[in-house]
Amino acid sequence: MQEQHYTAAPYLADSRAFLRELGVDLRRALTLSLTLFIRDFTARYRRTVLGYLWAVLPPIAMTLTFVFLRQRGVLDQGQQAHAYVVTVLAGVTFWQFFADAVSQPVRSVQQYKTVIAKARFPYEAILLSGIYQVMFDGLVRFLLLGAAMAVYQLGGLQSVIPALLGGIALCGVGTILGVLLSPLSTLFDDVEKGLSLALFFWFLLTPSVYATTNETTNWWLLNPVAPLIEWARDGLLITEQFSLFPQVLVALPLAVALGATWILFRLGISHAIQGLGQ
Amino acid sequence: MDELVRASVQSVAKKFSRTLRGSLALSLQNIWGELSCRTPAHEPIGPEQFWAVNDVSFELRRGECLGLLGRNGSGKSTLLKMLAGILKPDRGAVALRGKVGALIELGTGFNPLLTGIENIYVNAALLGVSRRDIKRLIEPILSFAELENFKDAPLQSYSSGMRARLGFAIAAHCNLDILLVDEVLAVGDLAFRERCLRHMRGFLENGGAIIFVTHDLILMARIAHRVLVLHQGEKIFEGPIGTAISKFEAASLPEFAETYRRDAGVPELASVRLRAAGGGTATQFFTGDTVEVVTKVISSTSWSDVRLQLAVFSQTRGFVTSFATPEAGISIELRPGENEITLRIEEMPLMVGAYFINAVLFGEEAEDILCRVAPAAHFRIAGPEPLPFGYGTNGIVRVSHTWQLDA
Repeated sequence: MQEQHYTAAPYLADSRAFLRELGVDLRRALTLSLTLFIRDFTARYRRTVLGYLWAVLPPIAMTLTFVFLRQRGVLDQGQQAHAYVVTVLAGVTFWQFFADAVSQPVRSVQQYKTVIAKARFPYEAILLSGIYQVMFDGLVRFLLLGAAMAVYQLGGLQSVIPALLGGIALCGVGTILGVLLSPLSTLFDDVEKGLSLALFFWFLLTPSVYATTNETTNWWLLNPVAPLIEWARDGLLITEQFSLFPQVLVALPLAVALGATWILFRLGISHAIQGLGQ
Repeated sequence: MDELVRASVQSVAKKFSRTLRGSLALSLQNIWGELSCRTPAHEPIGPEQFWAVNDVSFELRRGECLGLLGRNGSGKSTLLKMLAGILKPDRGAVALRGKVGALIELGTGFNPLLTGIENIYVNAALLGVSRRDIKRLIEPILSFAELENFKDAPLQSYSSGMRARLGFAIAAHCNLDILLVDEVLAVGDLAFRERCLRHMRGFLENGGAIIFVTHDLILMARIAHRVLVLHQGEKIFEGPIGTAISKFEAASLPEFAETYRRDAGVPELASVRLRAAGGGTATQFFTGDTVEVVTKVISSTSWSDVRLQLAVFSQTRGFVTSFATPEAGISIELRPGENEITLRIEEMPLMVGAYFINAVLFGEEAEDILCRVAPAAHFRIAGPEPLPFGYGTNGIVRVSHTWQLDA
């Protein structure tokens, strides 16, 4: 028969027991997260007329806006029209994938905070369920992007791996940020409000709907998402010059950072619950 | 931990802050303490902080139901949340043996847009049931909740009672070892409550253990083997239900008496005291005792046709009964100075608990209140213990009676 012990001692005081508990919870969370994902996915479009169309409408709308601006001469970066459409769609798709990965953990914790305050279950499940949601939305957008590339005869099967690696890197960085913020978001509404604002300006400062020139490249490196998006997009559209090295370079620290973030989330969420009140 | 013990709670404590800002700061402080490996017990309590639960210990064995009694804010829910692993104790330790299910709010995680069946999947999964087992449990759950005809309806079309039924039915079928029930049966109707009680008794007979929180003392007496009384976060009693109710009610006494006097010229209710027949003033009696209630009235002038009403209230169950002089055909004539009016109750019918008396002095007119004191006196019935499960009298009053068997 299973035994549970709850004490005032810090979790890390007995790090082996803590890691064992994380392992047990992760196994449970994998099953539970799937159930939660199905629940949220089913409920998400149940009260809409357009249904699953809402999954693809935002990137289409944004791309059409920039195509319109370009046609009116507001944006002109010297590319051919069809290349511009795909460049914008790719940039927006990668950016949205990253933005969703940042905001989804915060949204998930907010959505489940009344449940967290009243039931003990592996809280990782709500994060995982959110990640599935981000993956699903991303997949739909990438399929749309793939269709556009096929129509304009850009890229090919060789684009899949770099695009996939780029997407995973963006999703990983976004998830780390989101998961770190999520316990704090249960305590302070500033986190959710500030995140929306920050993502808006971050989007403007990221070359997702425009390309950078050589002179500005170093400046964009101050924005860590910028090179990830550029590498991913370049990998997708300019396969002959593409190097997998940057993605491989970030993969290891990313995996370590994800693990550390998970531990920090677990340490933080159990005390953040207290701030949720009765 | 002993093989038969399901829960062992050792000196647990949890502190909260009275203000929102303080509460957020406390959470941040705890997160920081966790990251820096510092135990919160070493932190001094701040000016806005208080112990929601302080130094509470008890054991719960298999087949046992422990009732938790206490006023709102006495720490019952906080204690349950620590037992459920939702809140981390600031001091002490909790050890649990077996699978725990916390019914802190029925239907936690329900989505109003999803159907009854879809919600069963989610809710049962939150309680740790596998998808395969849930599939097997769908029919019994719907049948227990009597919701077979609504299984495909969205939850938003359910009444609060139907949601409560579904929530309890899910928890009842999740093969738990320890059930933590926090005031959740108040929502369902009488028939469903009876079914829940029957289920909980069966659960106990099969070796389960329950910690049960309710303000319904009659319900508590029907299920709890032992009761723990919490007051301002501290355990003030643990033991038989009757004494626990009495302790709880005594701890729930109103802090201030409300006094009304029409004007300075009318008679004043100076005091109401109780005494055992032939004895001195007392506040504690037993069911069946002869009790006298002595009301002292001070008047500056003579008054005629005055009525006195003494109303008896249970501390937690409200109005019980009242005594009024006109009923006995008595019209009170007050003389200047002190007057004593004695009510004699030959055989006290009230059962274990804490009670108070409100006194009202009326003039000649029907609604002419001269003076009112609420509460004017407190008393306790200390025994004998009520006997639930068909072994004796249980409830608020014991009526004098005889049995006759015609076989």
